Amino acid sequence: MNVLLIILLYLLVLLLLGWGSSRLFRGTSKDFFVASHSIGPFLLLMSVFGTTMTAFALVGSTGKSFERGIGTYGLMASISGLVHMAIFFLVGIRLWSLGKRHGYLTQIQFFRERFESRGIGYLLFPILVLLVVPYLLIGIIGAGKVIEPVTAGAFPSLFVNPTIPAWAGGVPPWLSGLVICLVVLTYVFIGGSRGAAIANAFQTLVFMSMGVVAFYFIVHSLGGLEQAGKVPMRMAEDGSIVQDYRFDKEAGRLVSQDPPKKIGRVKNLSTIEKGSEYPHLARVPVWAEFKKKNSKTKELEPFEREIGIPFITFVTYLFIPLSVGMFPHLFQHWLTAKNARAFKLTVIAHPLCIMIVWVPCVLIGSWASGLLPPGIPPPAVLSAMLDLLVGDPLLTGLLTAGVLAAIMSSLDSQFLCLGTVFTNDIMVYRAGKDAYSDQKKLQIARTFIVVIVAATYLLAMAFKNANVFDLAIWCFSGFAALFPLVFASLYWRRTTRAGAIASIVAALISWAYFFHQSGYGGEYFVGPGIVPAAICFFLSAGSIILISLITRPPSQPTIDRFFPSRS
Amino acid sequence: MKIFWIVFFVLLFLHQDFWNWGLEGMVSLGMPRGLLYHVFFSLACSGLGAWAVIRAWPEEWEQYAEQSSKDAEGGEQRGAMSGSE
Repeated sequence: MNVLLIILLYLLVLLLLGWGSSRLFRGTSKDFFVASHSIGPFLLLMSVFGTTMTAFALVGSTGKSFERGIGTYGLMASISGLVHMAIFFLVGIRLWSLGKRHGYLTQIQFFRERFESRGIGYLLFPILVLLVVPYLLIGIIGAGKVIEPVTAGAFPSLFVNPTIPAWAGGVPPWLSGLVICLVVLTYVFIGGSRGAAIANAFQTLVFMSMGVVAFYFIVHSLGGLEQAGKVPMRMAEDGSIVQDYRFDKEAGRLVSQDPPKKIGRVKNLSTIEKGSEYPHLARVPVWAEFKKKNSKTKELEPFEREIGIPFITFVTYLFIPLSVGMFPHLFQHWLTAKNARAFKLTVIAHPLCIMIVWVPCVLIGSWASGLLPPGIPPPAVLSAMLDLLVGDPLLTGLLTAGVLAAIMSSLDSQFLCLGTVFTNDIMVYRAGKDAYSDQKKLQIARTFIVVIVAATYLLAMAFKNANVFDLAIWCFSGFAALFPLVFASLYWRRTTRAGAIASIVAALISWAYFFHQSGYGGEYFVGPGIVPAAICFFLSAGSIILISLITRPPSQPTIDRFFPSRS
Repeated sequence: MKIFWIVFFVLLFLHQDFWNWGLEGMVSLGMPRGLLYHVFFSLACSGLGAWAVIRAWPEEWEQYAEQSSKDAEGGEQRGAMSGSE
C-alpha cells in the first residue's frame, strides 16, 4: 500500500506541475507547440535527456546487463553519449536555427521547404506516426508491467485476475495504463510544450536520482563495492556455471555458498580462453544453458542464452543512436530552445547524464547474475534485486516512481508531437495557413492528442504482452534508417527531392523487410550479428547520394535559404 | 570543425575496444576494467562536447536565427506556417 501511495503522490505532483505550467501559458498555438522558443539551458537538457531515455534507461539496462554483462554499457550507453552529443551539436543547432528563422514547428515543414515538395510531407507523416506509435506503446505497456508486481496484494478482493498468480491484488495493467495516460494527457493538454518541458525536468531528476539511490542501497547490502564485484555468476573449470554467494535475507548479508550452487553449463567451452571466470565482466560471447520452471507445467525446462557481445554486433550497434536525429518529438524539443546557446549545456552534459543513469544499472545487472535465478524475466531484475537486498516498500515505491518518470517523460513529448504534426502538417497545410484561427488550431491539436491517447491506450491493451524492449530497438532502427535524410538535407546542398524520396523509400522497405524477418518485433541480427539498422542506414544513405547525383539540383533560392553561411 | 570531426572519428574507433574484449579483471572499487574504460570514454565525449561549444561554436547559425527575431520585430518575418506567427 505504501508503494501505491508513493506512486499516487508522484502522479499528483505531476498534475500540480501541469497546473503550474498552465499559468505560464500565453494562449497562442506557438506557445502550445514550441513554448514560444523560451526554454533555457537547464530545462532543455532535462527535457531532451528525459525524452531520449525511456523505461529502458533503468529497467532495460539492468535486464540487458543481467543477460549480457557489462558490455551493455558500451553497446548502448557510451556510444549514445558520443552520437547524441554530435547530433545535438551538428544537427540540432542547425535545425533550431532554421526552425526559428523560418517559423517551422515540425520536421515535415522543414523537409517540405528544403525539398520543395508537398508530397514528401504526405510520405513522411504516416511513417513517423508508424514509428512513434509503437514507441508510445512501449511506455504504456511498460508502466503496466512495472506497477502490477510492486502493488501485488494491495487490493486482494478488488483485482482477482492478475497477469500471474503471484501478482494477485495488484493494480492491473489496464488501470495503471489508463491512469498514466490521463495524467500525461492532462498536463500536456493544459500546458503544451512548456508543461511537457517542466514535467520532463522533474521526471528526469526523479529517475536519475532514483537509479543512484537504488544503487547505493544495493551496494550497502552487498557489503560494499569490492565485495559486490565478486558476486556475478562464475564459470568453473569443468564448464559448469555457478553462483558463489547467496543473500541471507534474515541476516541481511551476503553468505558464501560452499560448494557453489550449479545453475547451468557453458556450451562453447572449447572456444573460451583458459582462465576466464566471470562472463558478465567481459564481452567474449559465451553460450550457456540454464533451466527455468515452466509456469504452466511447473516442470524445469532448459533454455540457452548468449552472455557477452559479438564484436560485429557491438560495432554495428552504433547506428541505433542515430535515431535521435530523426525523432519528431526531439525536433520539437529543440525548437523550444530560447537561443542557440541553450544547447551548450545539453551538448556537454548529455553523455554525463547517460553515464550517471546507466553505470549503476549495468553493475546491478551483472551482480544480479550471481544472485537471482537465471530464468527471471530481464525487466524484473532491478525490482527483484531491490526486493531481495533491500525489501523496503518505501524504496520500492520511489524506484517505481523513477521508472514511471522515465516512461512518462517520453510519452508526453510523443503525444504532443503527434498533435502538432497532425494539426500543422495535415489540417492547416491542407486548408491553408489562414483558414483557421489560432484558437481553432489549439482546439484541433488538443482534440487530436485526446484521440491519439485513446487509440494508443486501446492498442497497448491489445498488445499488452509484447516484448517492449525489443520493440523499442525496432522503433530506434526505423528512425536511424531515416537519419541520412536529415543529415544530407543540412550538409549537402546537392541533395534533391528525388534523392530524399528514394532515401525514405529505401529506409522503409529495408526496415519493413527486417521487421518481418524478425517475426514482427523480436531480437534479430543479420548474418554473424549485424544490427539491421546498419544495413537500412547504408541503403538509405546510398539511395540519397545516388539519386541526388543523377537528378536536377534544388533551386538557387532554396539553397540560399538553407545554406545561409555560404550563399 | 575539422578537429571536431577528427576527434569524433578517433573516439568512434576507441569505442570499438577489441583489446579489452576478454578482460574481466577488476580495478579498485569493484569496477570491471571494460566498464571503467567506457566510463572514461563517456567523459571524453563530454570533453569533446565542451571543446566544441567553446572552440567550434556555429556563430553563423546563431546569428542567422537571431536575425529572424529582429525581422519579426519589424514585421518582416516570413513564416512558413501561419501557426508560428
